[in-house]
Formats: sequence, C-alpha cells, structure tokens
Amino acid sequence: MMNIVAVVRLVPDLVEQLVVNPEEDNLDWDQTALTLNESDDHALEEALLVKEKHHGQLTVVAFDYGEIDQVLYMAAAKGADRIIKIAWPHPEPPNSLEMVGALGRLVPTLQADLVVMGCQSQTEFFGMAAAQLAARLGWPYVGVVRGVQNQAGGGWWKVFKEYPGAVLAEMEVQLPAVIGILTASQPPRYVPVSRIRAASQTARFETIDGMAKPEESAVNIRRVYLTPATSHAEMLKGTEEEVARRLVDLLVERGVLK
Amino acid sequence: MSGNASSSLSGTRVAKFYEMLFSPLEGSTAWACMQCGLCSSSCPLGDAMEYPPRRIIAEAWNGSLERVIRSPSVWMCVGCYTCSYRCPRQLDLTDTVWPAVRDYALQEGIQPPAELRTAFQNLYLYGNVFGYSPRKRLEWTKNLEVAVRDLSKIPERVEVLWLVGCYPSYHPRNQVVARAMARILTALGVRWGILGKEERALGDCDRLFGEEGLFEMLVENNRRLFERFEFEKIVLLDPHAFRALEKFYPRFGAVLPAEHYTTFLASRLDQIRPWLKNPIQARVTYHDNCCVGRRCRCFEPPRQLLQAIPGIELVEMRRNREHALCCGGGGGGMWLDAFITEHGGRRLSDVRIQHALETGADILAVSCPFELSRFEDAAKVAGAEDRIKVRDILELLAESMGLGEGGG
Repeated sequence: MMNIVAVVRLVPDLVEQLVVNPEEDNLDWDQTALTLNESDDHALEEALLVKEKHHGQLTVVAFDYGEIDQVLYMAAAKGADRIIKIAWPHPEPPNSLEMVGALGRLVPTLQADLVVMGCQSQTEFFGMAAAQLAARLGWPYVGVVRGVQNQAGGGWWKVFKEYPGAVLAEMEVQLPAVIGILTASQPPRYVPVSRIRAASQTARFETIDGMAKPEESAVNIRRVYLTPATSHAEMLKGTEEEVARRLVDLLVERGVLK
Repeated sequence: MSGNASSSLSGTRVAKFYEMLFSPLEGSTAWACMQCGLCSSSCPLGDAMEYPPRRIIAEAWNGSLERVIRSPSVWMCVGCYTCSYRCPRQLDLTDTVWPAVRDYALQEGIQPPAELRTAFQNLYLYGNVFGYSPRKRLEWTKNLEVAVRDLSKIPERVEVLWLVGCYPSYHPRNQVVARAMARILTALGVRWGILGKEERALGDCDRLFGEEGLFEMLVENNRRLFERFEFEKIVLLDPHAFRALEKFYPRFGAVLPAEHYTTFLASRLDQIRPWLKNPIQARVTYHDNCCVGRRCRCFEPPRQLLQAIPGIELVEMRRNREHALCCGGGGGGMWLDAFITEHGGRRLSDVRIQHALETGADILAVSCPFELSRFEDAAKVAGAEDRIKVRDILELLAESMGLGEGGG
C-alpha cells in the first residue's frame, strides 16, 4: 500500500491586521489569528486524490500550536487515515529549520513513499521547508507543482509545473520524494461542517513528544515592522465634470495625452 | 464528483434525506404531493431546472436520487417560497425539498459551486460571508454622530437588541442603511444595543443551501451569545435572518422575540409621523422581499412606512405582494449569479428591474440588504441607473426625518 504524508501548517491569517511585538523582532503571536497555509490546503487535496486513486494510506502531520485541531478534524473529515501532531509548546510556529528537523526525524519512521506539503508559507523566514526536508531525507524534490500522477511507471511519477508565460512542464521523479505543491489538480474539496463536527467526536490524534528541537539559523532577524506608508492614493472629488477635467489634466501632466 | 463513502454510510444519508423531505415542517409532508406541477410552473427558474420540486419528489419516491444530486438544478433554487405558497397541498417545499436534496448532495461528496463554497467557508471561519475580520464589524459606525451601545464591551439591559447583519456591517452601500437605522432608533428614543465584534451571521441561507451542520454550528454559537444579554426583542434588517430566528432557531431551543425592522417601525408609525417633515417628491414602487413578504405574509407594514412619507406616490409593480418576483438573492443565490445565469440563462434581478421600470417609478424601495446591490447592478445592466434609484425604506425614512447622511 502506498504511504502518503501531507504536512499542514498554520500561518498568520491576513484577514486580521498583523501586530508586531514590542521588541520588534517578531509578530505578537498572542494577538495573531492563524489559518491553514493555502498551499498546504492544496497539498492535502493532492494527497487525497493520490490516496483515492491508488488506494493508499494518508497520514497528515502538523505541529501542535494554535487551533490546529480544527484543521486536523477537517483533514479527518476529508479522508485522512492517520493524524500525527508534533508537540510544540510555543504560540509561534516553528521556523523552517525546526520544522524540517522534526520532520526529518519523523518521516523515516512512517515508511512514506510520498511527502507533499505546500511549496511555500509566510512563516518560512529561513528558506523553503519542503526543499530543505528533501535535502535532509536525501530524497528528490520538485517544487511549485500543480499536480502529481502515477503515469510514468517503474516507480517514476509524473509531476506538472507551470512557468510564467503559460509554459507547462511535465517532469518525472522517482519515489520516495518530497513534492512542494502550489495548487492541487482540483480546488480543495468542500467538506460539510456536519462531517467536521462528526470527526471532532471520533478522530484520534497521535501526539509525538521530543521530535521538535530548537534549531539555530545562521540568519538573524534584525527587525520586524509594518511597511511605512510613503505615498497614498488621491481620491478625486467634485462633480463628474470636475473629476473628468482633473483626470485629463493628470493624463496630460504625465505625458499620456498630448 | 462522487464521495468515497461506504454503501452503509450512503444508506444512512439517504435515510436522513427521506426524513428531511417527508417530515412536516408546517402543513403536510411531501408524501401528499399529487404531482400537479404547479410548483415547477410557478418557480421563476423552473423552466431551466432539470429537476424542479415536483420531479425531485417523484425521483425520491422512486428511490432514484443519484441523477438528481448531480444535476445543476440542485443549486438553482433561490428560496423565494413561490412553490410553497402556491402548492395546493400546502407543502412547505422551499424549506424541505431543497435543504434535503442539497444536504444529501453535500454528504455524498458533491461539490457545491465554487462561489458558494467560499461563502460557506467564510461563514465557518469568520461568521460572515465576506471572509472579513469580525473585528471590523463596527466599521459602519465610523463618523456616526449617535451613540452606539456595544453590548460586547458593556453588557447592559436594552429594549432592542439590533442584529445589524453581515451586509449592513461590511458592505459600503448597506452601511449607509445601517447608519440610517441607528439614527432613527435613537430619534425614537429606543434603548438599543448591538453585539459589535461578537455578532455572527444567523445562517438562514446556508440552511436553505443544505449546509445543516454549518447552520447548527451558527445556531449553537448564537444561542450561547444571546443568553449573555438582556433585551426585550431582537430587531433585524435582514429578512432571511429574521426568518431563521423566527422559524428555525426555536428547534434548537432558542425561542427569541424577533421582528423585521419594517414591522417594528410600522408599529411605531404614530411616533414616527411627526418626524416626517421633509417631503420626498417621487413616484416609488416597493419590491416585496420573499421572506417577510410571501413567506410571512407581511405586505402592508413596508407600504405603510412609505405612504407616511410626504410627497411619495406609491405605485405597484404588476407582480406584487404574494406574487412578487424574487430578486434572485435568497437561499444562497446571492453568491450564485454566475452559476444561475450559466444554467438558467438570466438573473432574476434583471427581470425584476424591468417590472419596476414599467411603473415609471423614480425610486425602487427595498427592505432587504441583498436587494440594494442586486437592483442597483440590474439598473446599470438595463442602462437605467439615471431613471430609477434603488433605496432602502430606512434611507427614505431617515431623509424625510432629517436624519439622512450629512443631515439630509
């Protein structure tokens, strides 16, 4: 049976205003709402598609911070077979080195054939975790992928990438491999809330302690701050004629009209 | 796309479908359907539906639901209650057939149209269909010159708990209406309060769209929220929310005194009349929203409010009161314009604006937050935005009372 691992992460929800901590070296995580990383949502969908097509087993792995349980109930409702939480006793997400360290220790114990995760996340200050994980495991990596298929045969899988200018690429990769997903082959499926609520009653999570360890980076964050506004949009006011005249003046002034 | 459910699970879902379909809400059950087809021919989108209500019931009898749930028809009902109103057997088709078949489709893994999926997810995550921060619920009160009692900050007993609603809280055009309501309530001396950033959608549209679990979640959250506050009655701007509170919340033990603002204000007309000093010289036609109108048979209070305004000449569209054509925004239709136009060939708001234009009215008056944007857009599509203005009754009242934006 094929073993698929999908990694999901919570990231700051940009629906809310971000708040920087008083030390100006990080976000104020106690005031930061978190949401599922968008490309991880797509990675989960791609993992579900592979599982359904190849009758595989899907294990969803996440670090235990924020309201990750809600995301994991959703994953269970969608069809995840096994859910593992990596203990993480901090309000802020692990950095990408810490994440990769823990995943690098966990994944070999799961006999995984395929690891999928979002190819990027807002919290990856120290490089992209998916590529680093592949390096740590010594597995091949393909990133910014928009679909995975077992068409190549002989243990080779086909992955699809999209480049700027509507250029599509098909690549072959031998499993086991780590795939960084940008978008899934189809939009992440909607699962009714009643199923999520049912999963919250029945789903069992395995929590693994001691897997995550602090890892220092050679890169230091010197300062985190909100982008200062250096200019702003000018709202043209007045009657339609006045606004139209001002628009024409502006276009002439900028050399668009003569 | 079909789900990966086992057959036994699927069997449970079918059983739930039959329970929802054949359990009477009001009146008879769907077993009493005599297949007359009046529902299908009355439905404003029935001609475009492969499976209108009559056929869904027939297919349910035959146990052949698989094709039904894969048909676009499942997502085309806009919750106008015309089928329920006209059914000679008084079957509550809108509130039974559609939620049942949609719930079954969702449970079987059928994916709703993308726009609807987004609306559901936003409701689940943020408690509003827009996906905006709950902290921004009070933005409509910026620069409002009357005091706003935010009960989420200072819980105190109020006469009216005003549930502002998602559109009036967040949608710029509807924020004007919310401010008009705040000024009118204050002018009338009503002790009113709102829930501020704690308010969440009441959830009628997702119930109609078969998202029973989401609806239940919202009901549970709202019930717990309401229990924290003391109030005499709840007043709402959104007729769909009013309908949910009136009819479906009691099933979850939340029996709450609720009124739509049109009936609340009409009952205070004697108090309002002395304020109505500024004439509005205009020919006005009123669009009955489906929930307060056809569903709750409440047709006169909105008209009484309009007729009380000096200068207004009220004229009726050829389809009015219980026969009014829906704007197409109910039951989730608000987020399905592209889907319904693709499969139904038209937007009902584009048809309805023609009815309003036929009357020669200067103003199309409405009393539902969905309708302002729907009809303003329809007027633009018709190239008639200079001929007819769309205004909520609250805006007209506020203007006549000298309480409009900028004191007008």
